[in-house]
Amino acid sequence: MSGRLLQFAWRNLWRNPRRTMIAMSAIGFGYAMLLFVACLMAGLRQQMIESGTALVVSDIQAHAPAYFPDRPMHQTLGGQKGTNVSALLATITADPRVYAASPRVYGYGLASAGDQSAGVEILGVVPNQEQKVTALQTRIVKGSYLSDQMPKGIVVGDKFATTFGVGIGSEIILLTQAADGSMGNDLYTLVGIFHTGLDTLDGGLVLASLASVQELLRLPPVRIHEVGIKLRDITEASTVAAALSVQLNKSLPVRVRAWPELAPELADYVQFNRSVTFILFFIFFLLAIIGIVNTMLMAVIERTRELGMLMAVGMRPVQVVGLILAEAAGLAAASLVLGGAVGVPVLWYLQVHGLDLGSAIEEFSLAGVVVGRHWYGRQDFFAYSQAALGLALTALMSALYPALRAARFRPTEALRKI
Amino acid sequence: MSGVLLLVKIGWRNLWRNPRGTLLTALALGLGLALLLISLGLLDGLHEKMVADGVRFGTGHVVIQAKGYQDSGAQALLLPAQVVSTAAEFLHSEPMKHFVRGVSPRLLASGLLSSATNATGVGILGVIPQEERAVSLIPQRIAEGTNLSDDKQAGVVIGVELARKLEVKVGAKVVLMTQAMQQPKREPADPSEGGMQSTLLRVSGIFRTGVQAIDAHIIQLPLPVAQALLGVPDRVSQVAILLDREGDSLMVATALRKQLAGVAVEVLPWRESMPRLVQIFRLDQAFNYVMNGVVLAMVGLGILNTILMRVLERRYEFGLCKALGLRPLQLAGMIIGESLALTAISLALGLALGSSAHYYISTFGLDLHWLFEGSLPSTFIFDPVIYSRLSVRRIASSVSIVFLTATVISFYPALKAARTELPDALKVF
Amino acid sequence: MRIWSLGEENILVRIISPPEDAGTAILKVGSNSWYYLPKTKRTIKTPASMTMTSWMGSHFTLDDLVKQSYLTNDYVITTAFEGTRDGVAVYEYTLTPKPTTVVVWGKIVLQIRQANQMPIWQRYYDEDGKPVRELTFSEYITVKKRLIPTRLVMRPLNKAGEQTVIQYKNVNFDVPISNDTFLLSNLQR
Repeated sequence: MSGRLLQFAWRNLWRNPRRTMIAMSAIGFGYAMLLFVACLMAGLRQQMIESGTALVVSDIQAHAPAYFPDRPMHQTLGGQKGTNVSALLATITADPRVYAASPRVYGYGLASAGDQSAGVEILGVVPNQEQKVTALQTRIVKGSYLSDQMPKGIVVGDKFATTFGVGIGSEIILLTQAADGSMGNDLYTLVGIFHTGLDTLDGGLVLASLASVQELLRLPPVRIHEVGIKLRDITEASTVAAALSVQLNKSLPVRVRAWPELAPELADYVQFNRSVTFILFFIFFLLAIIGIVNTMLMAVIERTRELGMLMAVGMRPVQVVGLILAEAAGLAAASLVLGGAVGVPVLWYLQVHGLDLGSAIEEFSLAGVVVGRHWYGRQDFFAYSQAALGLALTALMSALYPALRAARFRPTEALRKI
Repeated sequence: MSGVLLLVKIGWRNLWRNPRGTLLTALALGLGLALLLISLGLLDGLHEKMVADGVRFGTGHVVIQAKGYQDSGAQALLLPAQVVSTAAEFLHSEPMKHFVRGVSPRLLASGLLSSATNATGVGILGVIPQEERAVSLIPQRIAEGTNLSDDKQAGVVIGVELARKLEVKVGAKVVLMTQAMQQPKREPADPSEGGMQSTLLRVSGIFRTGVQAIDAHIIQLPLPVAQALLGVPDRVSQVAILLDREGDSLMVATALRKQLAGVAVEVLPWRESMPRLVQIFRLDQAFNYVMNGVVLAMVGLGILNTILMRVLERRYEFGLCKALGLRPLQLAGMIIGESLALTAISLALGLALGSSAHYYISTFGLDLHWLFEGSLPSTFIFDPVIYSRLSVRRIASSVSIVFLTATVISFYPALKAARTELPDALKVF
Repeated sequence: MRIWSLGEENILVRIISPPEDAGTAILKVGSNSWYYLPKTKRTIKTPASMTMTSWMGSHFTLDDLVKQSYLTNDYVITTAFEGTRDGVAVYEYTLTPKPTTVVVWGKIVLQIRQANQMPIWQRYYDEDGKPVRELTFSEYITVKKRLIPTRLVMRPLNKAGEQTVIQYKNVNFDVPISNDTFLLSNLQR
């Protein structure tokens, strides 16, 4: 397409500034609105992901290859020999994208208090390291989180506490099958009760110190099941997981997984969220088609004489089509710029201040995640550019019919029109 | 006021002097309205579906339980015997039966399910297959095998995660073990109290709901089998009721409560029995408002575009009118009249288009499977088939908004036209 | 361990060795079970469903140890083989659970010696005919005119290299045991 044609197209647009401006505003504001929604949806996704992984799952987990998802007790990192835990942690945290890492041991056994006993999942953690990786400590409603002062402290969910009728200071016995086949059992003191809003956690998960759980399971300190990893930017989870996997496998067989694998329900919600955004894009494109076809068609019909004249002096039909398409493209481009300009402050506001959903919404859980009142936006440049590209294509498509009509003008007839 | 009539006539004829332009504009406007109606219908349909399905995975729109069950969840708290028959009778007769889609009595308990390879704790739901099918979604998510049948065969349906863990397929034998409901503890050396009961079951079907907690944990078996196992031959834990419309929940709950007055039960509408669902509902509603607003704004802009362009192009014509003696106010009136007529045509068009699309989608549903190609098909809470839902109020408000917008928009050029400067306007080109 | 049993409902087990578990006691009366844990000096009541799960981490379930005697009642027995295997005259029986029998097995195949009717091995199959585990008997002795195997080995057939061995070092029948043995208070001694 010759540069002169493009120039010509652009000037044509501005020969009727009012019409162009109106169309531009409509499409531009429509685009701004798309940005608004995309930003909100991205923010919702982010919030869901962060909440979903923050409590227990963490952004990334590293295990022995055969460990996940069934969690057989013997599949510790490094197998029976275990591994140098601090070296492993050091290697992981050496990656600048990693914020913190924490070692964990899992067990499944019987918790007993008074006359009641029930199966629970037992998670052994190092309190000060774990607190950098997950946020369960922010959900303590009674008592306090694990600490080094109470090596035999245990933290349970509120559902568990109610069912068993225990309170801070109560005695809880954990009975489990230890690694050497004996009956691992130990006495713990309840130091804290948490509430996450998720029944599986509130009723079935107990936390104790890593050392005490290793002792309970008769596992030596070099054997752990998992390293939980928190990143500086959770959106990099899959990339960092892959990188860590390569790096760690040089010295130790591991499988490093990012949260979509660890929390598939959450991953699906995220996908659903993206799809809904897409539906909105679709609606916008439909409206844009209507608007652009309308505008261009009117323009073409009005300029019958002018176009006829152009064709009479030698402009070929193909060039006419090109001209109209170029005008449409120019219109779309200008609209995008306008929409973008209007959108930027709104997007900034959403990211920094967010929307306050009001006190109508209390905390609750959705897809395994707890959601709060403030709806923050987040920049989703991918979505923004997808929308822009879509719009450009839509514009070209819409202008096709008017362009073809223009190309079929017969110069002699066109010139005769008033 | 014949002047007004004349204006209207002229206005009307103005429209048809440029039939193509008029029709084009009308089409554009009409499509905008149709699009609005369709989008709103879909959004509402989606929202309603979320609630409807959420309710169907839980305790239905209204649930009858023993008093105190909601708070304690104690397995031993069962409904008094005649409650089920009284409630069922009430709900299946006039006038209630028009609101009710299903009434499902259920027995809830926990137990241990064993296969040849493994054993794990499960949540037991004793149900009447035919009734349960009308209320719960589990019978509709059978991925392999069949649902429980109505005859006395001791089948069980389990979730796909549970099947994997126990390494069983359809037709496999499993043993369900549970504790018979017992009174508060006595001296333990009495073996006959609170005996463990076990029963042999065959896996008749495997379901997949996509919800981990359900697929790995919940099993359904025929109510009589569960009752025999738990030693409670005529009792159930709850009666879950599904209605045709969510809006009737409170009314049905109240009516039931009156019917069962004096009996130690609690009749709860879903908002009380499933408070978490309420929150999801509210979030989705907030989300809906935002989306509605956005769609409305986009359509509004489209209307703006269309009307403005149409009217602003006719400077020459207006100049001519004024030159021929038409007074500014009359000119403005004519323009507004035209706009009204045009809008009316467009609205009619849009309404026709939108309503037929809505009718189609509300009857046959819009299958959104293609949207979720990327994610695993199993992990979805509801079928991605949406039925459009439009209340009369919605339609009315959409139409009026479009109408008002179009009219208000045309004031600007009408006023501008009224003040058209004569010599300039007559310049051709 | 030392085990006392009265009928099929009452069992008391005291663990003597290894030292980590010494002092642990398990009491089962009817469908209720308790564990006494000497390390913490506490008694806990265990959910009755634990009788169907691995007992003490072994490949036996408590149900296995208690319900052995019901084989004749709950299964339809057909002779699969009668003859000599490895120089020993044996019968092999196929036990198919009766329709009402509450077990997960598709069938059990039992090999017994023709000479003294002692079981040699017992294989448990799932319904697809896949063998899931095998129980082997050996070291037969006579106690109070009863011939019993004193070495039982349970091997899961889907996990390589694992097995549980129960060896009876000293068995006595018709020993006077009072009901008091099976009281909770007795557990903690």
